[in-house]
Amino acid sequence: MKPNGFLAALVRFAESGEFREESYALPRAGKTALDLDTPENRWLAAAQHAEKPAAARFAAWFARRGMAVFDSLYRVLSVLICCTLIGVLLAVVCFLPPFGSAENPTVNEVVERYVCHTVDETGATNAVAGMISAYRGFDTLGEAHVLFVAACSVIVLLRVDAGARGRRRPDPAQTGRDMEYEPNGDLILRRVAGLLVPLAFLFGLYVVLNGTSSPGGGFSGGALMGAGLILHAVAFGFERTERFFGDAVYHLVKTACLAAYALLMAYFIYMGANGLDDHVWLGIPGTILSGGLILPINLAVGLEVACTMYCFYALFRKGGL
Amino acid sequence: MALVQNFPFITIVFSLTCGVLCAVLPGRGAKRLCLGWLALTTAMSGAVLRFTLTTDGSFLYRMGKWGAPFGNELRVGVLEALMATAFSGVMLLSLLGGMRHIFADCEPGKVNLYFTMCALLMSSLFALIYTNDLFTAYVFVEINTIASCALVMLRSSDRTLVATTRYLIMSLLGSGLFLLGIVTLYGITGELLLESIAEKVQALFAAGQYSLPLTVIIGFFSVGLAVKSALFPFHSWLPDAHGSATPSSSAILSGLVLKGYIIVLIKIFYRVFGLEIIVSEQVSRFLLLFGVLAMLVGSVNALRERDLKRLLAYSSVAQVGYIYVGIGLHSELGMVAACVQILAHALTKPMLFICAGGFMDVSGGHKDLAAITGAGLRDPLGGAAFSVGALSMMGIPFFAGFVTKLELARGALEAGPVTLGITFAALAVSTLLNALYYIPIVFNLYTRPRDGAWAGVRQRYHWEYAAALAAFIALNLGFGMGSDWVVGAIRRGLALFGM
Amino acid sequence: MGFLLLLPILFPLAAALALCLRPLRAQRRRRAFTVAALALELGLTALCAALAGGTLPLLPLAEGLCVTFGIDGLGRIFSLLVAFMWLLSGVFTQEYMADREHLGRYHVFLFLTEGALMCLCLAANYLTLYLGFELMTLCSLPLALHTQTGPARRGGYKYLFYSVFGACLGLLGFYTVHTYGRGTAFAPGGVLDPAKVAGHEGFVAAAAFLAVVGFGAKAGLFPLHAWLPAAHPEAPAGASALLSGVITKGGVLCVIRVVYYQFGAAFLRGTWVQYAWLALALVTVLLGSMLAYQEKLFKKRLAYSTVSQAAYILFGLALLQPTAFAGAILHVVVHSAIKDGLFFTAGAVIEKTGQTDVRALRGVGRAMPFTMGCYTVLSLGLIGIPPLGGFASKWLLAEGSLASGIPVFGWLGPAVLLVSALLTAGYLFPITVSAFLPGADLDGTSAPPLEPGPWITLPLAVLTALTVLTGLFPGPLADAAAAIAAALC
Repeated sequence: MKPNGFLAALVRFAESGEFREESYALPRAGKTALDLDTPENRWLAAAQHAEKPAAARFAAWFARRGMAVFDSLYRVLSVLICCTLIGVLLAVVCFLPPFGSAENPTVNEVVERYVCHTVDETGATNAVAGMISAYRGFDTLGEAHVLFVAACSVIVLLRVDAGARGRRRPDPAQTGRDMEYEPNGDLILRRVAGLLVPLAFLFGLYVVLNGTSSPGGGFSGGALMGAGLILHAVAFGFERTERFFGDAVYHLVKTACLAAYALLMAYFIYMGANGLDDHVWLGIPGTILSGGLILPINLAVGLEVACTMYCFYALFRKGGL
Repeated sequence: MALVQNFPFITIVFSLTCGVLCAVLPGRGAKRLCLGWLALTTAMSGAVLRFTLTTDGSFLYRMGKWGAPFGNELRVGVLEALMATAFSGVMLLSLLGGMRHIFADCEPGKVNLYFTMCALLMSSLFALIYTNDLFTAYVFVEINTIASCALVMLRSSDRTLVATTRYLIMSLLGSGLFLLGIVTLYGITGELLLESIAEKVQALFAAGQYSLPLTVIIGFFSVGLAVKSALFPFHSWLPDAHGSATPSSSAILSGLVLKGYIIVLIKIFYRVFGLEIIVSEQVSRFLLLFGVLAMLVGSVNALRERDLKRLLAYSSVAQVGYIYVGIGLHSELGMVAACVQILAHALTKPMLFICAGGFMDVSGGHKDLAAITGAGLRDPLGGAAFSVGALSMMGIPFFAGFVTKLELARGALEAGPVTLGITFAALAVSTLLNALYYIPIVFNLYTRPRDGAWAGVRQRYHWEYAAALAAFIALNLGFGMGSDWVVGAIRRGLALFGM
Repeated sequence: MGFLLLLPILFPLAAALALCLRPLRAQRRRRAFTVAALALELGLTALCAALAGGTLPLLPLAEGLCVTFGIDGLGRIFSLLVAFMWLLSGVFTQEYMADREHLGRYHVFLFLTEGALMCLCLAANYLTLYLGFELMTLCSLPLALHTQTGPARRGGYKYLFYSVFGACLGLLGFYTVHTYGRGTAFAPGGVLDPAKVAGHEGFVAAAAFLAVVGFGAKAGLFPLHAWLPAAHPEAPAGASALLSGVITKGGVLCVIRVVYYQFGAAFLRGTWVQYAWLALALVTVLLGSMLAYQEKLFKKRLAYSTVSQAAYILFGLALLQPTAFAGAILHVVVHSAIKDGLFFTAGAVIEKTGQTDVRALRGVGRAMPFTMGCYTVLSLGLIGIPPLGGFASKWLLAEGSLASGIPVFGWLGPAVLLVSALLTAGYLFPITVSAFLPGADLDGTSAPPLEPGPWITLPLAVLTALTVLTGLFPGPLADAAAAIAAALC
């Protein structure tokens, strides 16, 4: 019987490396013929601990046949449950109001306010930007930190620290992984990338700065800038990229951007909640300098997203920035 | 507006910043920043609590220039302030108690990220407690999920990796269902602030419109949050995750993170739908049933365990069952009981996990029950704290657990005979099972090992460990003996909750 | 004089703490300390019984719930009993366990259990009673599994299991009284509020029944009696004596308080609760006697005997009648004395001869004449032969049963008691007979003298004398019990 793909692969990965912890063994999902003689087998250990022979017999039976039964049941049940969920969702959709109709409950005074008054209340002609960064700016602050926490989690998982206990950089030749691979200077790639990377940065910056007056904003512009960084790393190699974007720059930019974002938002919320005037110049709608605080917020978010995207790439590729 | 009223928002936003800063500081610096900030947030939340108690009201805090329903809002009342203070204090004490293990278990270059995750987790817990908006709740539920997975994963071993993966997958499933619920609810009401939704929902129920979507929405919310808070039968991720993490992480996850999701569920039930609708939809019956099953299954599984931390994790499953039984009684007294159990468990279970960490120290790093024989003799303070925790779990008067049982019984006595019978039977059996696995451990702790293993080893008391355990014991006894005040505050808070 | 109530409770706790902090390794010092402390405790209890009055609210736990102590006639009898038996057992243990290990731990928990039992006896409301009950279970558990062998641990955890389950059922009674009563303080005649109870009588009665069964588990009421034969053979004889003789009476006290002082005899009289209780008690009487009759292990036989005799007491209480109540209280004292003595005897015999099976005790009377002589007198008392103690109590029980006017149980009770007395003779007497009259084939003259030392024989003598005295002069005790009963039934 085929082992349950992803989980088994993960288990193999976990147990292949240097992380082994004594006195623990995971029963592999999907494996039927368990080797009962291996002392690490959890069920056998349970059987040995069991004082009553009936429990020991049951544990031994389960180790032999139980996993097979569970596997077949698992497949059937998982398909059933997914189908049920799909059915429920489809049923709900049938009862929901039709999409785009003017009598929808979602078309209410809230949406009207956003659409009609964004320009004079927030200074941004792009209502979406006004909505996410000004009206509901707190949620966006949370989302930016979701990105941050995700990046930190990937760092925790994948970053290989020099001299870290229990881990060492695997030898590329030995494991076949090309973490240390540097490009061999492909001419076409370099020339094209030399043209595209600055364009990517420029365009990304444009999207970020124009977020208040045209579709765009911090997240999309940041993704573009991140793509530019990744293209640079792919074409020219990590060494050259690290000359201007290494670990220190990453941390500096990320921290500064998030701290600045939080401070701006805190100022804005504090002033608003306490009924004080926050003296923010809303700018000239339709130009770059508009939207009040939305502009610096977009900039901060854009830089942060760019850093995050590159960080993911670098961590997966070579285990560090 | 008084300065104190700004504190909730300050605690949320600047906890985020504290987390960001911790990521760039070295390990020790991050620790000091995080601990200092947690002490400050505890003090601030305490000030908010005092404010709400003296003014005897709850206040709305506009997050920005625009109030509901255009902008974001926080709602701060007695109950929220009480929970915030308690959670902040417990996280501080959990970090203190397990500090040595944090530095030993995590890679040296990543210790600062541990404190980042703690700070972000604290921020999201505050946000979940205070928020008055569904989508904000979702955003911070995401932060909560990822940060808690990272907390498990920071102790790098094969076991924690697999446990984290399972936790992440199931948690995201729960988040996904929660998001589907929010989206569908928005689709039929057009609002995201809780009070605004409540008006629309009442109108829809009165008119009989969208009945199937509303039922399904309640189902999505319940199942989604039940998966994330490890209600039976969605608890299978909990023993691995909590049992293999470093003691501080287990303490924080068991004591605080699970409760954050339950608080969101209580908010949705109380403020969005109202108790009458919840009752009429029979949701509470399922929650009661699963709560009772959780109490039994959790304890039965704990009996079979030989690993101390997995045993405590299964015990958490049972204790979460108590909370859901309280919610499932669908009466005001039942909700009071649920909130009391949230606080009591948050005070007890972290203490037990910290003690487990201490026992591992004096037993050569092993944590199975055979290895910790005599650990109470080698680590007297840890043994005393574990005994206090065990007696509290059993429900002996003077300890926190007894207050829970008392309030649950009071709530059950108001319900119908069948509910009453089931609840009492479950309480009796659960107490019995708790005694069956906690008392032998306590005896085991104070029995000298026959082969004289680790005979001369003594616990070296760092001030952090000793202070944390002493504070936990004092809080537990204080809660057990002075519960009058707390229960009264909870009652007042719940009365304001539904307004 | 409220603080006097705290003295008998706090003093054993202080003694335990002292022993914890300064474990006395030297045997003489430990003996002296233990005996002095127990004697002082007896003195304090007597002082408290004589002088103390009123109630002492100590610790408010929640609104309307306060740990309160107080003393009344019933409390005086039980607390004096506890202190006296503890002293005798303490003296007995000094020699019996002279060469065992972990004596320090044993003594610490001995004192702690005494403190918990005093808390139970001096409780003035349901909460304090429940607290004392739980603490008594937890503190006596280390005594029960002192030897820590496999069977001892199993027996100990069985004891824990049944006791905690019983406590849970008792807690149900607590919630019920709290909700449907005028408070949880003990008042003769009950505290139930008729206005609140109206419409819920079925539930309140069921809760009362469960509370009786739960607290009765400590006294070995069927069906929760199985822990007694499991825990007793493995525990040291001094601990067995206390478990059988005194701690079971703690359960009995809880039952009395719950039935007479919380739910009220008037509420339960004539209901299905009373009939069910009577039935369970009679079943236990017969069951215990029959199981004792066919049991071959000495201590296990005595454990089953406890099951049976404690059921006598519960039967007397179930009749809800003053004479029967007086008989029950008298039997509490008498049985406590007799069973303690029997366990002391068993302990001495098993210790000296190394035999645990009753069939192997042939001729031991020649080697230990005084011990077996005391055993004989005590058995006669338990069987109920006048003029020894057991007769007066059983007479009162039978009289009360016949006078109660309950349909079937009125005459069934005495009949069962009679049968049980015969069975008691059947399982106690053969040991005496085979001890003193082993048969012609055993040469008795060459038996080495195995008589235990004065630390063991003195308590035995005291208990035997007490049995005889209560038989000859049952008046004072019976009158005191009747006075209490008058206010209750």
